[in-house]
Amino acid sequence: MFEIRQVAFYYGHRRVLKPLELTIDPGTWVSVVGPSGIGKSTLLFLLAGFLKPTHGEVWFRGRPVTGPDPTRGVVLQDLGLFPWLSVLENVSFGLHLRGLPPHTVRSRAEAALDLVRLREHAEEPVDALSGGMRQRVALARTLVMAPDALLLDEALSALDANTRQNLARDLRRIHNETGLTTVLVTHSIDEALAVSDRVIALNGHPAEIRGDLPLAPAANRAEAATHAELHDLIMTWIA
Amino acid sequence: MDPTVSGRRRRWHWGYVSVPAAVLIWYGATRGVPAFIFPGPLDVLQTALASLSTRTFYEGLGASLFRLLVGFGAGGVLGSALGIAAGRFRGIDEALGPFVSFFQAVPPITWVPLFVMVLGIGNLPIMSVVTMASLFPVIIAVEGGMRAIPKSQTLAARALGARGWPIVVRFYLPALQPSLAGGLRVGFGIAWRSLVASEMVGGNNGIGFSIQTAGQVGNMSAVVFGILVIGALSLLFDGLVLRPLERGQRTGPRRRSPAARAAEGIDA
Repeated sequence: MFEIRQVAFYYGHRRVLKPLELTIDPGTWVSVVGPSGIGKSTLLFLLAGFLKPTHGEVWFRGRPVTGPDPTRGVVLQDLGLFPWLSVLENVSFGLHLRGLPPHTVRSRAEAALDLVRLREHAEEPVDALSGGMRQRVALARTLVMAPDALLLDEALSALDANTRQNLARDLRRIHNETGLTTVLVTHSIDEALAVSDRVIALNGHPAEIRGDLPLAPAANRAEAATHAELHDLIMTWIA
Repeated sequence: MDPTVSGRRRRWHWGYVSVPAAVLIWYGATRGVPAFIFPGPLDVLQTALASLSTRTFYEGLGASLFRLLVGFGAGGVLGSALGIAAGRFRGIDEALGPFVSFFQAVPPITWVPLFVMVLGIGNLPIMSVVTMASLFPVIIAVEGGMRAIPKSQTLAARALGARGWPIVVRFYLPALQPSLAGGLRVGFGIAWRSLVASEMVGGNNGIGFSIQTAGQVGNMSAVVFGILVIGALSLLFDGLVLRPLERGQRTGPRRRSPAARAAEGIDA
């Protein structure tokens, strides 16, 4: 699905990413962990097409990525919801751009709101919602475009523990239902272990891949000891 | 009746006192003064009633409003386009910057002799002055508004497929509404003043021309009536168009809705 071919990135003269080589298979959930400011979001922005690699190429579904595209849905850390629009209007935004008829837009937007359990808040302004609900609106706005990949930039970080757990569970359910290729950037190892099929650890200046850990399905590794061992292993990569 | 039960009560406004008081002071100050020097409210009222029943008044008013709408409209549209372009592309911002700084410092009325020479007497030079007057405040406001749009919103719009003309219409213009409305209000004030001044200097009809003509023949009641018409129209346009435009934007933090607060308890 994603092929990162010798991708390096510089911000001005500052080298952020060493040449990276990485392949992400369709339908998998890959989490990228690492210390704050290491270049995780830069990697996600390269996958999204917001940034162009200084060297190398990002390929998606057999084509080079040249810019952002609704086939790669992105949920940003700051969400980027449009405060002048209601919940439903936010979710409909991308569908209107496609020129779909109004009734199709509405029914698809409502279905996306059902998926994130926000249908009853459709007419509210997004500023009236709580942090977790706003996160769900951003997710619905991305999912309604029927993307092939979902890119999540610290999507759960700003939430309280309870909300984070609920949303993580919902995200995983949606991932399983839709078969989306998902890339989550997070600084939380626990979060990555809870939802992912594979964890990649970035560290160093400039950043490089220090570890690549395929995980068994979450249900098969519920034991605390296993979780703690994996956590400790990843910690040795990013400490 | 209990105001909390009856709903919203109209708040006391000191304008209810200050405006009649100003008219009374005006009346007192002009008593015994000849109307051709400083007319009182009753003299102006008489002139107003006489003017309002003539066709000339409405023709002049129509001419001024036509120039204002075309000139201000052109300044607003052009200023918005240039402001968005400058906010979007650094090269345009850098290329435009020196001209905006230079021309916004030049009083619009100073363009009148040049425009009259180049474009001749009539609507065109005056409308051009009005456009120049409204253009730069709108550019500055819109460009500032572009910088204030959170980067995450722009990225989200692009990720959802917005580019080209749709990103301007569906994203930038709504996101810019508060700053655009602010720029239009400032631009309108300058445009309106410039219109009247231009008509006084280089017009052959319109409100400014009427005031100028009345002043030349010593008809101070007509001069004061013209001033009142200018102020009243400005207030009317501001109240009916510009303020609602500014208020119409849904921005800033809001109280969470009761439904959202209730839902938060079980699932934020």
